[in-house]
Amino acid sequence: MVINPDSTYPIRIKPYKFDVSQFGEKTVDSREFLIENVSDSDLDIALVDMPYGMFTIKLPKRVKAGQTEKGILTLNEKFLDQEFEKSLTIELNDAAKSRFTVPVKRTLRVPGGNPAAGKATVQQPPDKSSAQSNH
Amino acid sequence: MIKVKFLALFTACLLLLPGMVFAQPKLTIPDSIFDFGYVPQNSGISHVFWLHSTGTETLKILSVKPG
Repeated sequence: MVINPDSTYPIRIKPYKFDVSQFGEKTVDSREFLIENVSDSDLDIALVDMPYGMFTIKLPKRVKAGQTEKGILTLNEKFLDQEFEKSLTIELNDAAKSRFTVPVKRTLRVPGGNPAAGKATVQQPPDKSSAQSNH
Repeated sequence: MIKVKFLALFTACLLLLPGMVFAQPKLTIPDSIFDFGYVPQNSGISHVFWLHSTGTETLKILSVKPG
């Protein structure tokens, strides 16, 4: 466990969690991220694990020493109406073959959303009459 | 003729018996360990482990104990 993910070495991933939550009708289906190489060697990055078919990821293949590269995670259309908590794991080609696991989370709060999606609807405020009944 | 039939049946039994006696379920997990590396605190993470039934009998998973 990493208490302060900003202190990771040899790379820093910003943000350290990929939140592709959607709060409203505007579709949120992707998340950009940065990978900063804080070491003094160039690093190759390889994807070693992610849920099959759930999303696609564009990863920089190499991040030069001291440089920052951009990546993007895009959700598969099939999973746009789902909430989930998954993760992906990358591996570096440093001496330790360091691995980093990035949580990927999606929460849905869509007004009038599909009830079949479970929690994917806006919670209504409590009924006034029931709120006053305790007094 | 009866002897020949009996011999054929006996031979068939001999050939099938080991398969029947030694038919056993077998579980093979190609990658039983997964290294997540650095993980942010209080995060939900996941990994899929594949379980292969490689025995000669149906494999039944009766219980799972998290480590």
